[in-house]
Amino acid sequence: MNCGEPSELPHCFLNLNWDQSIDPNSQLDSALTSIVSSNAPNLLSQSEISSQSHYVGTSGTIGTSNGSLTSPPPELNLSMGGGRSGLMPMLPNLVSMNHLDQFQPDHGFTERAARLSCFDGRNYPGFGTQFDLASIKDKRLEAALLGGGQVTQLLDKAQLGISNAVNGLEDSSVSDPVSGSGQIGLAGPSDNGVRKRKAPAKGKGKETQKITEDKGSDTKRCKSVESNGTQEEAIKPKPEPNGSVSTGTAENSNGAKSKGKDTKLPEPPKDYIHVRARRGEATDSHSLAERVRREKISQRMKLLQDLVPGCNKVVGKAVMLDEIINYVQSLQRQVEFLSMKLATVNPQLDFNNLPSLLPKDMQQACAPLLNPSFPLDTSGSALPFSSSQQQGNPLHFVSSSPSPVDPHNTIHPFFNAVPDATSQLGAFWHDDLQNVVQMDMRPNHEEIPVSSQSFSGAMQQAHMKMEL
Amino acid sequence: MENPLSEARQHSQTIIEERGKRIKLAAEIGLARSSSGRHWARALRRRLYRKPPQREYIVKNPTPLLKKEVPLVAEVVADVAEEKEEIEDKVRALQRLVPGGEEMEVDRLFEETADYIEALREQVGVMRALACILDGMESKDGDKL
Repeated sequence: MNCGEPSELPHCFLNLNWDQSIDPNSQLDSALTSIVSSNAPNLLSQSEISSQSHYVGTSGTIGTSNGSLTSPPPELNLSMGGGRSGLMPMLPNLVSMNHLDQFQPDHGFTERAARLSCFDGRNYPGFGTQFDLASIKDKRLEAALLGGGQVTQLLDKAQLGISNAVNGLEDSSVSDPVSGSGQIGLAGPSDNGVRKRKAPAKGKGKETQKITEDKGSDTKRCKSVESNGTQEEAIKPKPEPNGSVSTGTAENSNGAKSKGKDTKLPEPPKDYIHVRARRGEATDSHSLAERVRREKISQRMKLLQDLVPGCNKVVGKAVMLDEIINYVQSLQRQVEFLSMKLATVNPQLDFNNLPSLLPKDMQQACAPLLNPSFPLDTSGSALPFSSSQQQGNPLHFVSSSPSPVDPHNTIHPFFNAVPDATSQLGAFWHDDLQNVVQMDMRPNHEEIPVSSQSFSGAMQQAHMKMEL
Repeated sequence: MENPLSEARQHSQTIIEERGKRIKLAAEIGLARSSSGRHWARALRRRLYRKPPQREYIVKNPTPLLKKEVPLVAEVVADVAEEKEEIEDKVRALQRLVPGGEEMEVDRLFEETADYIEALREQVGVMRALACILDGMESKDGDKL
């Protein structure tokens, strides 16, 4: 019996089923392991092999029941936060990050942001990182919530300018940006001695004004070689008190008068990039631009480092790039593997209306290939995800006619499919089956904010219809 | 005597494969839709529409650098020419993996990669959950029989 007590379902259901679904499908198991091990020739080092298998393991969010999958080391639960909590709670994390530009403020935001900050704090190596990823991510989210896509972009650009002042700082996720920047600004001077900042005297008043002005505008490129609290504030959509600017240890300098100094200072968020040359470095425009570009790239790489599990130990671009490549490959293979698994596990799962999922103008190109009359292996089990009444449900079973139009234009075919199916349950399924499905759907529903309106609509219907 | 059996097996195998391909296509569509604002998502959509879906079974995009490729300035961290070469190769490999990667410069590529990774993780999660749920239902129902 896969399903435990109904009360336990939200937590253990996935675990148990993962176990049981894995074991009987021995061929799939071997396929998976072969996928994992087939990557071995491509890898350059042993560490990569182990981390490759780790990816598979860790992405098997389902607690410990990874069965035939390689068992993840305890440290690699980066992607899963609190591993035992299962898969679903993590999705809003990823989802929220994904949809910053569409800023969907979700109720899981706080939880997720807290987790992110925990991750970043824990994973912070002695790389001399130049910015606090947690604070950046949080601010990115906050900015997204407040200001929308443009501000998010601004924040992205400004990420590069955020300084080492916050190295090691664990910015609490939903902390007020002002206080956050205050921390950053104050912590600046007492930071690790990578770069010291002078409290400048010259032109500060003027620069301060410039900053406050520029805050209002969405400046495109406010890159700076080194960040400061001022820069941080310039990012935010709301006006900053000047006090925090003055407490900041930053000085804004004009790029034209860049000289060799031992301190790197931030720039005002203007249209062009202000870069201050480091001591002993060339000061011509080419090398400055080059340096800025380098910094930008390394910032991005650090961002990727946090995403890819197991990247924290490695130092060096080549190895890290390898890790990233392997991770992306493994994720893509997982998608493939899972789609095959879905095909075998449930013979009635099929997509007959794939042309309808694509835009209509492309339909002609794909229609002859997506023949809706593929033969199905119908089994006796009653799993009628019949969706003929539901438009936009791409998950058709048996012989339901595909609907030509997808009016909901839901984000994910899978999301749309299953909850719509639950609303049909009353007609076809036994009572306890309904309970099972509903129990499963509910945690999904609550924790996946990316689902479309129809998803929640259907869920509401389902809840009303069925009795627990 | 074995021939019809093996044939039948192959036939059902093909059916399963076909179904798997369709499911994978739907998964990719869902993936592309989930982050429609992103460059990689748009490129993925273009790819899905352009090619016949049956050929999509290969994970990697097989077309090598079709579009205009932005010349990669070698990563500057590596001072030695060999290292630069190596890193460039890897960056190119990454470009191939991420849909639409060939058109992007390195910094943008990394950004898109990060988003792509997140979307992939979501996708995998959804499919896993779906597999579990469907599997559980099927077994449960099977018990009743």
